[in-house]
Amino acid sequence: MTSPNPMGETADRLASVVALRELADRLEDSGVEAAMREGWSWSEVAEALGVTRQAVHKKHLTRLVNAGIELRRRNA
Amino acid sequence: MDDDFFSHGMRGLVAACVEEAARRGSTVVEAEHVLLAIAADPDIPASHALAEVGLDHAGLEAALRGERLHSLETAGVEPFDAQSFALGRPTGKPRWGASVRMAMTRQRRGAGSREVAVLIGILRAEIGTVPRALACAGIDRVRLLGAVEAAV
Repeated sequence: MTSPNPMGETADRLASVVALRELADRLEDSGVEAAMREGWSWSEVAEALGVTRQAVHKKHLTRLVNAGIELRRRNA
Repeated sequence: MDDDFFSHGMRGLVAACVEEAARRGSTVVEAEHVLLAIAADPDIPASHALAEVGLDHAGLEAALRGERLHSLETAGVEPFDAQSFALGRPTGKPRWGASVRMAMTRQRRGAGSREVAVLIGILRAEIGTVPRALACAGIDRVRLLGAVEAAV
């Protein structure tokens, strides 16, 4: 078999997965940042994302603190 | 980084690669970030081969953006520039992505500079973000690879 065409239909479908993952990650980062700037609690953000509060806290806390965003208490 | 297979004598380039990834919101350094770091540094001879086909840093960024937009369109997502979000710097330890690891297995050792060897490894990939971005920009990857290989 010759090498697959990197711009062929199948390659496009697989590349769209990569692009969508990247887009989803960026939407999550910016969405969580916006929510925290508006004063949402960790629990509210977690519920909106359909994940646990611990998961969203672990994933985003350091980045948000480094960005200088004032955060509500973790248990709020 | 999680290992030093890429860093012997290339610490400046490694730092630039990590920065390129971080600017795009990622701690995972992929082949396109290495390519961007090479293209941005005129002191790296490997960047000259890219410049000769019009691939300076801005040109490469545009090509990569074009590839992502094309890929999103395939999934039915309207053209949307994910890079447009202004995000805080990602946290966590930087690590090499799969595309860089693959490039390292394809690199040509023992000829030219280490950076050229890495560039050859990246350009030898036939599938993935980099070959797609080059195709989107109308650049003949095989011809570019041949020119780089012939120059060393």
